[in-house]
Amino acid sequence: MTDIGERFESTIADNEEFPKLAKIGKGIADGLPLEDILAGIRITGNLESVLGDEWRKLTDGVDRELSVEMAKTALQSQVSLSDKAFLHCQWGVSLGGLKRRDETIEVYKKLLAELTDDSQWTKAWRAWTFNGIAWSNFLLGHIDEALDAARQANELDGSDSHQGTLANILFEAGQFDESFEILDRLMAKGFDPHPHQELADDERFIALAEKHGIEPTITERQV
Amino acid sequence: MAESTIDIDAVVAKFGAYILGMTEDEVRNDSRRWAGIHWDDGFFDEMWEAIDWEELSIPDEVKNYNREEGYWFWGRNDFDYGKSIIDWEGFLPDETTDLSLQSFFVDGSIYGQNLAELIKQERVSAEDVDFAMVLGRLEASSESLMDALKAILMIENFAEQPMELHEYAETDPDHEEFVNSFEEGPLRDHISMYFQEPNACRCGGAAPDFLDPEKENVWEMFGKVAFQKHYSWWMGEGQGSCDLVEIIDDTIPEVPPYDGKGLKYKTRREIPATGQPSESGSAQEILATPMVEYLKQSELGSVSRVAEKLEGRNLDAVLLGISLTPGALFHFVDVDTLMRWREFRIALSVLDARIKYQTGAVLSGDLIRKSNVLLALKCADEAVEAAQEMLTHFDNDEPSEYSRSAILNQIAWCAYHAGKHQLGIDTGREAVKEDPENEAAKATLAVCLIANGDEKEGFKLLEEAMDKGIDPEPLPELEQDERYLELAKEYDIPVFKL
Repeated sequence: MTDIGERFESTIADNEEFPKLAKIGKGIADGLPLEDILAGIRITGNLESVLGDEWRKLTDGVDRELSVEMAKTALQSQVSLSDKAFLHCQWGVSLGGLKRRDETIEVYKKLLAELTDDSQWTKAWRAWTFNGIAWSNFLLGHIDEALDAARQANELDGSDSHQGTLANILFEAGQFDESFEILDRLMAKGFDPHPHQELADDERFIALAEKHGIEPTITERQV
Repeated sequence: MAESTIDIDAVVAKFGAYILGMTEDEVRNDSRRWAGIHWDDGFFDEMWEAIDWEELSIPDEVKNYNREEGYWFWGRNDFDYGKSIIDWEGFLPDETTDLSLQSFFVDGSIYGQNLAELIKQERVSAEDVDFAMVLGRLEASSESLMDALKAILMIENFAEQPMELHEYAETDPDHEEFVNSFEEGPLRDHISMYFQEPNACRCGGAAPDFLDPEKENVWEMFGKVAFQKHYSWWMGEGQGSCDLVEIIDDTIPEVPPYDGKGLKYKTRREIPATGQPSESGSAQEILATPMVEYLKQSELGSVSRVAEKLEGRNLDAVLLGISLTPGALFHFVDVDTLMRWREFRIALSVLDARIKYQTGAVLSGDLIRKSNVLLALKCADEAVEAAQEMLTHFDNDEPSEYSRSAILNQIAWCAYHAGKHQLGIDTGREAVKEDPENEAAKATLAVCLIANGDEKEGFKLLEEAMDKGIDPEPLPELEQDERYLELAKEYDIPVFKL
């Protein structure tokens, strides 16, 4: 049995939460290539709509290694752009969860290279990817790179979550005025900016959170 | 009220000359026989029950009822009902057991007068007619071209009821010059309603339809050319049409007298190359050919296109992937559709690949499909095995969408085709015992008993099942047996023609 087959066997077999992945695992155990199974899914649907729910459970912590291997395998063949985005996302987030942040950044850069057209959908995905690069760099302590990526995300898509990331990184970079200006605006709308611990402990942040009645969720710094 | 001073004949001649490419004098003096024939998709639902089909009359209170609501074309009912054409599948030769009607009916169309006679003779009931298409022969003062055009144009009561443009009305640019040759006002609006832009006509009015000059554009009745179309309108795709036709031969044939009851026949459908039975009686012979080859041969474009995506891939793996897609209605994996199209070899290949990854109710459904596909491919022994496997799963308490009686019946049915009559009798009896109201199981048991020589009990059970409307679908040997044919005739069970 292949490595990926063994992972399926240990994580997925007999697990009722993964009915579809269990079938894939059984197929792999029988010697069927994962790449061709995924190709079959793509004939009538797309990977995210068919496997998304189960796959995200792997990415969220059930088996990030398996998620990484599946994404790499699926990306070996021709897939649609939306599936590419989905696969890179699971790959990158899984690596992030495994604290392999340098690799995460590499994966996101690969995705950026694919996202070349001017559609709104592509812009939103580019922004999401820059956001991921920003957080990964931030958690690695690469503040300049993090700030650069966060600003690019905001230029493409000024959504609240991207602004929240920028505010976090601006604080870390010592650019407090811009950081708190953004935070004030976001929290006034009731948005939780997911501060990292240092930001959450800052008196100015505490005052803003009280002013707007926000109970923030702390983003754990994991390097 | 519109101006009452219009010269109706002048308007009609101008209209006819324009649409037919004739001079106005030629329209006025044409000596051929003409009629307008109208059909719309609301007639059956709205009007069928209101018409007295025995007397061929329509009550005054419903006549042209729609005009009061502003409709003109949809729901039109000012027809000569005796000369109108009723098109219904029940008027096909194979759909009746009335012997003389089997040779009278030709293609599903009869005249209203024929229907009236059939109702009077109690050989057809108007209540039994379902979703008939009524091609209404528009009432006209005569069969002259001028009068046929007047009927189509609904212009004789123009002074009282001119057609008004609806909210979305728009004259087709191709006909704007002609329409605008009428002075602006109610008459131009009325004429415009016959030259609506194709999308606008969906909301009212009619659009000129294309008559292919390469085609004959004739209308046959009882196997003879009855009408020649010269101009057509439509009221939105599938919503309705109106034709100006030249009458070639609209003689209404007399309904032949009753001559007893005959058999009802089934239509034998062609089997494509990808559905041909196994020569050896073994599924292995069929599965030895890669599925992709069958897919390429398929006459169904949607199936053959899938073949391109499978080149170089492991088909089992691809099928497993496809089977994970929820509600995948793609013909490729929808085995029921493949079976309807008699693509049995492809269906077997799909089932063979995916069954090993199925469990529970899905597996049970696929096993019954597999046994049916194997029967169609004349691999009866393996069909029995597939059905028996289904029973094993059921008896192991695995979920199933079929009852135990139904599964036993499937085993018996496959055994009958495999010539394993005793197995068929044993499982058939068990199926009936399990569910005494399973009439299909009774029919299966019956055919097995007869095949095994126990004709007394067999025919008794057969009659019970056929009386309940079950088609036992016996093998040809029994289907051609006089005793079976008598029962089929009595209980209206269709048989294949020899």
